[in-house]
Amino acid sequence: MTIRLQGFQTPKNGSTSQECQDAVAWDPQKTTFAVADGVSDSAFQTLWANILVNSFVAETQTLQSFSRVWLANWLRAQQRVWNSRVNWQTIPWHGRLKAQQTGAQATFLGIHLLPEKHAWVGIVIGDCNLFRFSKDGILMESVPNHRSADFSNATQAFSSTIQNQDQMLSQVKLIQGTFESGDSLVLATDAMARWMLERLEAKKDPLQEIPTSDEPGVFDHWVSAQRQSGALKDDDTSLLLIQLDAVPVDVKVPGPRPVVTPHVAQRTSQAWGYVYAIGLLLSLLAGVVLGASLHNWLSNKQIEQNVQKPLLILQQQLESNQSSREDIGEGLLKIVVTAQPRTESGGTAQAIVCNRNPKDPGCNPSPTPTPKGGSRSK
Amino acid sequence: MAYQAPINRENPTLFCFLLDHSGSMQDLIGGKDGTTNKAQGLADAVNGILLDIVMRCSEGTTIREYFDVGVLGYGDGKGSVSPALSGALAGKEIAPISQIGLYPLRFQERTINGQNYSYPVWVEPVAGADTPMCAALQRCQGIIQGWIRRHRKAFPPIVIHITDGESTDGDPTRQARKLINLYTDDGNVLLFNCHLSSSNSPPIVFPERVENIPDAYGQQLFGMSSVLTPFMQQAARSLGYLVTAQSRGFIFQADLSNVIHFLDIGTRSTVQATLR
Repeated sequence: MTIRLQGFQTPKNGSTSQECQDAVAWDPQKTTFAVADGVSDSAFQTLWANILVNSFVAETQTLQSFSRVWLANWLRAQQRVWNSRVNWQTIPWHGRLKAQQTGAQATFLGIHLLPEKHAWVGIVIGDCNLFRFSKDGILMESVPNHRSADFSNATQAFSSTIQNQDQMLSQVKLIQGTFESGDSLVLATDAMARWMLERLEAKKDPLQEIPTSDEPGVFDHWVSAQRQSGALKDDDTSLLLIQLDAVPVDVKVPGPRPVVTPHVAQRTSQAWGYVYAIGLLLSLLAGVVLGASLHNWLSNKQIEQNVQKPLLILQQQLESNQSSREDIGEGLLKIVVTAQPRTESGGTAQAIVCNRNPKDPGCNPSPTPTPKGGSRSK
Repeated sequence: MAYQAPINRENPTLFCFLLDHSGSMQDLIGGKDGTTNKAQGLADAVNGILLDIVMRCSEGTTIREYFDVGVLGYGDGKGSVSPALSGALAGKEIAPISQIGLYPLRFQERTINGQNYSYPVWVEPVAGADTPMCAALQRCQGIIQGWIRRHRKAFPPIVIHITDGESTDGDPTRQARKLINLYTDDGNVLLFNCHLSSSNSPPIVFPERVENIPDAYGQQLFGMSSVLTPFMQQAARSLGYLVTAQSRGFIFQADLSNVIHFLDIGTRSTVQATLR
C-alpha cells in the first residue's frame, strides 16, 4: 500500500512556531497518526499535547481496536510522564499553581490504519476532526463533528490531572471506519476542521482550496489570507493529509475533484450531472495529455528532485527491515527504506512528504528513520 | 462591530479597578455574607480576579502580556486618589500583567481539599476617609487617555468601579461621561459600577431601565454605567442573571457574591471571549 503524507502547521497570529500549542505526530511504518490541540487556558499544554501524540503513534501499532481499559491505562501513563517532565522546583508560583489546579489539557485525535483490512480505528476527545474523502473528492466521513456549528469555545479534552478521570474517559469516543484505495484522510485541529466543514456546507471543495505545495511558506501565506478574510479562525492551525494508495508523485496526474457534501450528495440535479460529466471528460483528456508530458519529463529524474524543497522526504515501504538516511541540504533529510511490503497485494515505494516550518524545532528531522512530527516540548 | 478586537500581545487591553477606600467600607457587607467588612470583601474579590487574570496569562514559566492592569483607590485620606498596588508595584498607575504576576505584595496559605496552596495578595483592605469619586474618575480618565494613545487598535479599556457611598466631591456623572466617551478603534471605554450594600435589601443586578432603581444616588450610578457587551450578557446569563441587550453593567445593593460575579462578568468573560 502506498501512503503519501503531508503535514502543515501554522501558529496563531502573534505567536512563534515554538509557541504553537498544536502537536502532530505520525509513524508511517506503524501507520499511526495523531493530532492534538493544547487548550490555551491550561498549564504546560504544549508539552502535554506532544506527549499524547508521540506516545500514541509509538504504542498503538499492535491494536486492532481500542478498549476503555487500554485507554485508561494509556492515559494514566501519559499523566505520569507529564508530571515527571514538569520541572516543579523551578517554575514560578503562577505556573505551579496553574499546573496544580488546572493541569494541562489537550483535545486529541489518533488513528491506526489497518491496511490489510482497509480499515482504521482510533480515539477522539474534543474537536480535533477526521475527514475521509473518496478518490473523487466526495466527503465520506467527518468525525466527530459533522457540521461547522458543532464547534464552540467549550470543548472536552484530555487532562494531565487525575481529577474527574472517569468522567473524562467517558467523553472519549472510540472511532473506526473503512477506507478504499484512492481515499484521502485528513486529520485537523479545530480551526482548520471548522473551516473545512464551512467550505463543504458552502458546496466548495476544501481539498482543492488548501495549497499542498511543498514550497515553504505557501501554506502559511494561505492561512494568513484566510484569517484576514475572516474565513479561518485565528488559532493554531494543523493539518495532516494522508493519501492512501496515492499515485506516486512522479507520475501523479491531477484530476477533477467534484464537490459533494454528505447533505447534498443525493440532491445533485441531473443538469449539474451533465455539466459535471462533460467537465470530467475534458479534465481527464487534459490530464492524460499533461500526464504524458510530465512522464516524459520526469522519467530520468529521481522522485526527490520533483518535490520542491520539502523539509523531509521519505520513501519507504511498510515493515521496513533496512534503512539509510542522509542529509540533503539545509533543513532537508531524505530517508530511504528498502523493505518487504506488508500488504498482500505487494507494495511499492512510499512517498511521504512533510512540509513544515523550517524554523520550527518540532519539524526537525528525527534521528530515527521513522520521524514523529511536532515533537515540540517546552 | 465594536468589542470584537482579539486580545493578544500585540494588542493587549487594560483593566482599571477603581476602589472606594472611604471610612464606611469598614461596615459589614450585607446579604448572607454579613460577617465580612466591605473593605475586606472588596480586597479579597479583587485579589481573586487579579489571580484569575495572571493565571490565564501564565504560560509555564512566563506570563504573556495580554493585559495591563491599573488599581486606583480613592478616599483613604481626605480627597485622595492614589494607586492601590503596593510593595514593588507601589506608585504604579498601570502595570503589565507580567509585573502583577511577578510582584504580589505577599502570599497567604490556604488549604483546599486537604491540599495546601499559596495564594498571592496584591490589595489590602482599606477604610479611610471620604468618597472623592469625581477626582477618582478624572484621574482614571487621564490614565486611560494616555494608554489609548499607545493602543489605538486595542479592545477598549474596561473600568471596574466598586463603591459603597455617595460622591463627596460633586456629581460624578459628567466626569464619568468624559471617561466613557474615550474610545479605541474597537469601541468606547466600558465603565461598570457596583454599589456595595450594608443592608439586606435585595440587590438589583444589571438593570435595563433607570426606573428600576429606587433612589437618586443609584440612578446616578446607573446613568454612569455602560451597556454590557453581548459576550458579557451571555456570561451573566450563564451565572443565572436575567439580562437583555439593554442591561447595564451595574449592580445596586450588591452582596459579596454579586461583587465576585460582577468582576467575573466584567473581566473574565472578556478574557474568555477575546483572548487568542
